[in-house]
Amino acid sequence: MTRKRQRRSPSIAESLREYGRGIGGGFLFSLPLMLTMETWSAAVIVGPGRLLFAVAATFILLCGYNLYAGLRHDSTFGEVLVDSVEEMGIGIILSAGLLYLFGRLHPAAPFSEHLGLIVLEGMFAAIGVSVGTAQLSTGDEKDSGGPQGRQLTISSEIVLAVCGSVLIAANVAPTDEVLLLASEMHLLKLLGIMAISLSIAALLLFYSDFKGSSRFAGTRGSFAVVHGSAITYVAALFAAAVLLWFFGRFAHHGASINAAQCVVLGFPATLGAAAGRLLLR
Amino acid sequence: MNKNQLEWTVFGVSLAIILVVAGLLLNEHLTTGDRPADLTITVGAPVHVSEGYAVPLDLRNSGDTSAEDVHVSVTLGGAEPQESDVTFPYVPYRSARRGWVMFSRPPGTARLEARVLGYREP
Repeated sequence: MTRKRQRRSPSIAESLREYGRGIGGGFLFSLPLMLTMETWSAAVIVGPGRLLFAVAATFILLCGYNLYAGLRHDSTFGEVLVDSVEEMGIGIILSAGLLYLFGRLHPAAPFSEHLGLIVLEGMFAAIGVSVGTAQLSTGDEKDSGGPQGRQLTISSEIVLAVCGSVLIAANVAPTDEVLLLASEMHLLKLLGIMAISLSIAALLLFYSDFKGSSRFAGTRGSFAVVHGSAITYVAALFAAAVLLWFFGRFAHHGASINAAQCVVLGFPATLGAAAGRLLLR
Repeated sequence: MNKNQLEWTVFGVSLAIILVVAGLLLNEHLTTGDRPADLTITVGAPVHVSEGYAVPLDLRNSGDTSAEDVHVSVTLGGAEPQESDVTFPYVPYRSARRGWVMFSRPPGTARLEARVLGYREP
């Protein structure tokens, strides 16, 4: 939504196209969550304090994503902030509209319940809007950019990995299946899941490195792949833990069950993290 | 910043929405305590349906903690007391849910006694 390079304001049609892409992305990435029953009750269980945390955390993620993977790579910090505000607003409006159509906003329920639902779903819709705006664009509208514009730094890698993890893992985090698997899986099987997660991270990273290896001056080779997969997996586990805490899935369980939950949710989160990092390449 | 009027409008509306939402959440956060679930039942007027008589129940939780699997039993007094029950899967804090209990004979003027048998904390 920013055009520093074009020294003119975009036409209304151009803006509408961008919003259209954003709304498409918002639907694409938030519908699974919106159609999950556990999310509806979670919206109320989490309470206003954690929802406030979610708003702040989502805003930081949006800024990070727009900064490192947004539609245009030379956005100023002010433009990144403005874009993030727009995306969050659109996300909240999308979520309110859909929840109303789905009949999730009971007229008898108090306002606090409506607010919780709209905010919770709205935050994930906002991330979808952001990703949709940047990723669903056609080639000519996107910066021809690629390598020369963006700096690959450790912070950009981590931000994109966390963004991707949240986008994918959030759809699974509030469900009971995570707890069920975590409590029934044997330790060795959990270690197997960890091994698969790390291998997938390494595999995707290796191929993406292969494709754009010229941009990894100095950090090429097997060490870079090990280093990169470790970062991806740690970011995924971190995102999984935050999501589980946010949805109240840690409460009243022992430390080992909670660790197992992180590993189980860490699997889809790793896929998201690896995909998120690929967006840069 | 090169933005057209539409984009500035979207930005303005979005900013207003975010500020309002954050303000409401903050206000709720500051006014919400940690009192346990506090459940009260209001029995409504019976409705004659094909399978008997349906009585609406409004279950309100005025506490600060949500309640899960709230089990409510309703006894219809008289010469032959009848008991019905209903379970509410989820009653969030400061919220209300409606359920129905069925009786085979008209409740009429007989006394309907509703009480919460138990619930779980989520």
